[in-house]
Amino acid sequence: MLGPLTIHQPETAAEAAALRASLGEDAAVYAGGSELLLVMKEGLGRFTQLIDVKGIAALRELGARGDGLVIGAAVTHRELERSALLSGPFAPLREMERDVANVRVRAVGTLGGNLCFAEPHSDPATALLAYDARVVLAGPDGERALPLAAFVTGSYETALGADEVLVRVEVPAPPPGTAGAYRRFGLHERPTVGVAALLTATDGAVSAARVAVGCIGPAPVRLPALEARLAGLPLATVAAGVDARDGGFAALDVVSDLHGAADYKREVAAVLASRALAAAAARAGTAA
Amino acid sequence: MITLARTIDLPRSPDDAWAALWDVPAVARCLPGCQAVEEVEPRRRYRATVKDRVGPFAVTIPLDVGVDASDAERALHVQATGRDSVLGSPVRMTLTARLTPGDGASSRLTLDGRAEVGGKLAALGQAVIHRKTRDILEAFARNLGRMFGAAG
Amino acid sequence: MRPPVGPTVRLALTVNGAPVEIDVETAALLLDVLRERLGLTGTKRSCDAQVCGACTVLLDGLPVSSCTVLAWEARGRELQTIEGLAREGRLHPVQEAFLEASAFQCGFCTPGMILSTVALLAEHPDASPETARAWLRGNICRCTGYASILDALRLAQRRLREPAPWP
Repeated sequence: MLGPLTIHQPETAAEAAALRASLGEDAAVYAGGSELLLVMKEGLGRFTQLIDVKGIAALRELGARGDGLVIGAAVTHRELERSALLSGPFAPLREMERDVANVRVRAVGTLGGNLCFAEPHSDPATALLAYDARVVLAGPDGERALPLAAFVTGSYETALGADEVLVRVEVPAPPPGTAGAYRRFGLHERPTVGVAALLTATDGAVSAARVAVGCIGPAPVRLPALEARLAGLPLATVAAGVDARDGGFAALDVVSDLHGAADYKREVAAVLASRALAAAAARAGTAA
Repeated sequence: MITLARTIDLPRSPDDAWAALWDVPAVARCLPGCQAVEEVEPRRRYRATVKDRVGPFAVTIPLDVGVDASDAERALHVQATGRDSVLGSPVRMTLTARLTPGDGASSRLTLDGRAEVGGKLAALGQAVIHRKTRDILEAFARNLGRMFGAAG
Repeated sequence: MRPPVGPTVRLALTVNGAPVEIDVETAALLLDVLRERLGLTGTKRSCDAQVCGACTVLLDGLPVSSCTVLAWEARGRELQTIEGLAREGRLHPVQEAFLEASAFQCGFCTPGMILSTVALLAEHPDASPETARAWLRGNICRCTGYASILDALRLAQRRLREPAPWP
């Protein structure tokens, strides 16, 4: 069915990037294979070489760096859902990871694989966008960092160069007094709508808000209009539920598909945003 | 199904514009990804290949193009069908182009088109295909207008 | 850097407690090697897209979709299929619970359901109904409506807590 396949096992990110450069379009980066092998089985990708990055120590790192987090590209969803590091202000990430796909996909699927495949109906990029996460890429000239917003450029499209490999995701610590939530909706295997909300509270009121919506457009986006509206609102008001419908959903590039009509998706996104914000506000209130 | 409805004002007389529309290679170049247009029967049948990619996925679609034209009405109806070479997904595009006199020595080009992508390609990435097809059709209309010297 | 592997490779692993060594294509999927080469047909191909769970096997105790995992990934690891649950003619408590609760009709999803349940209870012996449902979300059953499966799970939980009976 698949094959013939040659599997390369680089030991460093630089080796992996060099292999990408030398093997060209015949090669695919391979970690969990949970997206790649499906693509190959469907006949959409004809790869004869796999670059297995699971043996690269730098890609398996999962730890704190300063107040922030470092997540290697080959860390699995399961490792993230079980990590004590994803607590406090990072709890929404754990909340998100717990619900990714199913338990078997989480056992082998990696964060890096998910971000690089950039499936529009997916959770991690949405949540990480709310944290202003950065990705670090290794290429022929060394490493470069890129905001996640600049990395995921569209459906199945990223800024990853043909001679680059994603090494890790860096998640900066949100300001003190920040709590958040992730809410998703879907009846299919992949989510229809996902919303991540982070609220920073000072003296019982919102001093900063970050809201990201994913799955409904070609890539996840932040909602600056909604974020601005929330500034200054008492936490109790947000916890009771704000109407998020005029939060910028109408201006988003949403198309109708099997997941739902465009206006349905916008409506569900607004409701999920309201709920995520309410949960975030409740958590921020208790965390203060 | 994605539809295209566009009206473009051209700084050419209807006769000039109609003649230019029959420069098939030039018109084919207006369709992003369109390569290798081959005339099978002049003004009636053509063959073309459309190549594009969505992220890492490359798509090649050989198209069978049928043209039905009326010189008197300065209208032509194009029907293109094909199958993506990897998945065998059916692709179908129809386009009606009509030239009417405008003010002075100008004309108005009305485009009415629709594109359908079926099969596995559509099932795997409906929204993506929808956006891609919409972008391609809109680029086609824009390029066509530019070819005729329309503003903008 | 290690030398590249393929297009064929000698695979050495443990299957249901016994060592196995076979030559496989690097491109071979675990499910195909299990069914075609090792004759372990208890694991089923259903959706072939890792959505339904019928192909669930345990790799070092972790549930994975054998339809979308390369056989090569099982190298040096312990693989458990449904055939490996019973010991010396005695069914595993989860299997017994499924029988007692009649938690199957056509039986096609059952090996995957049972293995997922085994993995769940190994990791969360006191799993709440919510945790159990979330874990089993990726195992689809067309026949039972799931209630009997959750009954079996609860029954298995109780059994696994009980001390082993006197011989």
